[in-house]
Amino acid sequence: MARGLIWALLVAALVSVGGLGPNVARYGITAAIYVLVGLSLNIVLGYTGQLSLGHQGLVGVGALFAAYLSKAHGLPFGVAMVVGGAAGAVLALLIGFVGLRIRGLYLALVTLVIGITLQGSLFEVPALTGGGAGESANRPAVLLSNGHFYFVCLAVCLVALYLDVRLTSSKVGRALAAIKADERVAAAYGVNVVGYKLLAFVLSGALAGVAGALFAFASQQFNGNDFSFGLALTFVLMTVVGGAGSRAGVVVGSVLFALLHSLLAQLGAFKDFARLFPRSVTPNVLQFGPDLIGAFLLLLTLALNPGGLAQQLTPLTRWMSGGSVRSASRRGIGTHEMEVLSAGG
Amino acid sequence: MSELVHPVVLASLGGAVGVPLVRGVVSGCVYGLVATGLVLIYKSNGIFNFAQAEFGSVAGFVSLAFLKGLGGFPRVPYPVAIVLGLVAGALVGLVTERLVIHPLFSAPRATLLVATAGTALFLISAQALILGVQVIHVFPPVAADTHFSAFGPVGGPHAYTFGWTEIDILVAVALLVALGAAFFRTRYGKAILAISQDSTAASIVGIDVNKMSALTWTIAGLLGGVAGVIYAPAKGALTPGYMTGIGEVGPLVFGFIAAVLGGMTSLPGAFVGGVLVGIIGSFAGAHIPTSVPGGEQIVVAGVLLVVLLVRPTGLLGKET
Amino acid sequence: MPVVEVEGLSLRFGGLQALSDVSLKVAEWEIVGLIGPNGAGKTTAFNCITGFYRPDAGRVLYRGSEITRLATHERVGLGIGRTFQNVGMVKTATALENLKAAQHVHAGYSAMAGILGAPDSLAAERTLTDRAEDILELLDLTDVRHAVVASLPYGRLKLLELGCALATDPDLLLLDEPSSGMGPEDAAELGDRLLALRREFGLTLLLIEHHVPLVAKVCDYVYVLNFGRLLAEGDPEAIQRQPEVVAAYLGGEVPRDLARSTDPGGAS
Repeated sequence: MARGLIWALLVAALVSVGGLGPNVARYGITAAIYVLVGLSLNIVLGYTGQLSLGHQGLVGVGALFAAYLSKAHGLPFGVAMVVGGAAGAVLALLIGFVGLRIRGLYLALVTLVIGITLQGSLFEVPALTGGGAGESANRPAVLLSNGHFYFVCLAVCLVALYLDVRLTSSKVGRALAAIKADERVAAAYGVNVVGYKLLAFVLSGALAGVAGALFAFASQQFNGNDFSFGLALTFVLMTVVGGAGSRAGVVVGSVLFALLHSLLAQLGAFKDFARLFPRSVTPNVLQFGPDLIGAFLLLLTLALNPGGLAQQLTPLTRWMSGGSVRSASRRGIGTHEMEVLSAGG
Repeated sequence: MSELVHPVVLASLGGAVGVPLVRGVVSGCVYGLVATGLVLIYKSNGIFNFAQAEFGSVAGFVSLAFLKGLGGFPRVPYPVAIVLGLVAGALVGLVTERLVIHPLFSAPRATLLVATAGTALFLISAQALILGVQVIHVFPPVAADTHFSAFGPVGGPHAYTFGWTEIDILVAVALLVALGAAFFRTRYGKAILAISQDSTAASIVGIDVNKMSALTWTIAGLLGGVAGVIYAPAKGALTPGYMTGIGEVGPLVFGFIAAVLGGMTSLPGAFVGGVLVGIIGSFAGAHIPTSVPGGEQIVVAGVLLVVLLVRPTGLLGKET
Repeated sequence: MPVVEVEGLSLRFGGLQALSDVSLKVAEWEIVGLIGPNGAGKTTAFNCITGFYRPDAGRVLYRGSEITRLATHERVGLGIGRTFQNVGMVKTATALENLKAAQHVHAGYSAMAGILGAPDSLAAERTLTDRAEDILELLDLTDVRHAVVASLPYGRLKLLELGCALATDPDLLLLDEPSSGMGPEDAAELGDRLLALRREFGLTLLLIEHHVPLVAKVCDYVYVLNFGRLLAEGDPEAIQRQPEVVAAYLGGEVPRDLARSTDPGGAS
């Protein structure tokens, strides 16, 4: 009874975001896009245990191609989204091949370098980005309103969540978990380790690419600078703070980070806090305070609670989906998963 | 100062080779310093220190503040400002160790890795918060009026024009190499090396691992600081996080690549790796047309990829 | 034709010759033991048979076909299952999840069908759960079906691992020290269980073992490895009495008084 009520409230809240005006819808759009990226990173980092830190590059590639093809070749919105996803998938596949040879911390580095290099090179090619101002991606007329666009983003999120649920409850999820735990065991269970690792990357890339396409249409522009090192770290942070490996944790973590900027800026108390600083500094506090807080949150999480929000959320999510609150928990990126992550390189 | 370069060498090296080479060495020194700091931390804690470059950014900005008398700081002469910047860098390294690394000492390496990333973001945000992004902060070059050149007259078509800024870089590095060699012969230096080999054994032998860890990070902060203050005048316009490279590729990425190429095993190896990366990048930049954006990064990243694919533990690395 | 046959297997790790010209074969429904002192190369041989290592020289044949270069997961698909010396399962997952994961090759639906949630994948999942339950029942592990593997006591852990190996639906089962950590009664019980499993599933077994009574009870044939070489082979009773074998375990020259006889029950 109570469970159903909570679900209903959740659905109502999600729907209402689209109807409360363009600004609220803007937050919803940002949150939805971050959730997609979080889910994407979670597949590779949380489920398969591959330290890929260049996801902003995947998102950027999706955004770039979606924007370019829609502007220069007049591709309709839906097709541009698919292309964005495909671009992300292809790049991720390449990264996956690299990850077959290079492990652990070195893979983290290589993926980071790839992401940053992309930002400095491909994302700056004038032919693709329409010059320094960035390529524009114009929304179709029906989606010009933020509210409508939000619903599209929400729909994409829901589809992604559905696929994620199906993934984890099927043989694919089990195969990835085995790979993450011990590749020899996975092989002994008959899992094609190479194939499934690449599959994880491709799925992850597709999701990230779609998120990128949505991003391009949301901001109606592509700008290479948006996809920098800082964004890469932010994505990793939100996955870790959320609790890599736990769907609910990652969703909450992503929403939190997406809204951190916007919400904090609106919060009266935060504005007062910013005014405590000398006049010249106040706007900076408003602009960068959230980043600072985000980084601080991460460090706090790591120190106190390596499982992230997921650890806190597990009893709640279990209850919401009809299970008992007290059953054995294996969600989240606890110290064991962290060990496995650091076992390579 | 063409007398600096032996006439035979001058004659046999064209501008196409000499200039990028020297340029590469100069920027490579900066990368090498970052790389050395990274390898130092890797040997002592087993992780990549994502915050290594930020020790430099902080040092650079602190120097700038004292140099120009910003934000209520007193104006001091150039050398004093540099030293104060270095002190700041070392302090940030120490504080990071005490507040972030030490509490997480027994945590898995991936946790520490993410923690350093968080620290980097924290430092960058703090810089942005304090300095803002509206004002461009320019770090003045050393002795702006004096110019030298090699391979031709000052401003000549194939000449490499440089000033005291670049000479400073080379001098600083030479000093550091000498200091470093001396330091690692001292008790403390040997203790740090011992810990990096086997911290348990080191503590059994009576080395205070706790104190040594703080010392190591202070040194890493100092190394990062040196990189930050010698890079600052060369870069000119400083932005928050300029050593890490926000919105562009900064020395951190090149330093990482250099450290990995060297195999993360030896400090001099890391430095040499940095110089190599600088040279490779410089040649790439000189010969790749500007219509291909980011050519330098692509080549260097490509080299990294190829090396790691062939030898997943780096050029000089050991099998784990 | 033997189920599995290994011919002239050699493998070198840096300075160590792990295997030197090792040949063995296991006939259908046989239980063959692979014994020898620690470091003799027994697990290395297993790893070559299951595809974790590629030998420098020699061949691995499964039912007459060469599989020397085949990937591990493909060998699992052919019917080769194994357990590991230090227990190979996904420790953070539950027993049931492990048993379902181990059925990967016979899951009955494709990866894409699983991700999209095709109806036949949902039905197949139910079958997987049923089969997992069957194995749990067979091994008396039904009470721990939802227990996280890492929390299980050692004995049940080993049993569950055996269950996971069975879940891959093998014809040939390679067990790496299945009785390690067990006392004499448990080992005897394991022996009975292995014989029963052979009967029930038509299995062929190759065991790495140190437990002499178990080997004697269960094995039809025994190969002895020492320093990567095949030292001796034959009937378990006879093997134990061979002086070279005893010497290999004791690590020295053949003592004169031991050359006369060896008490199979006493040696450990």
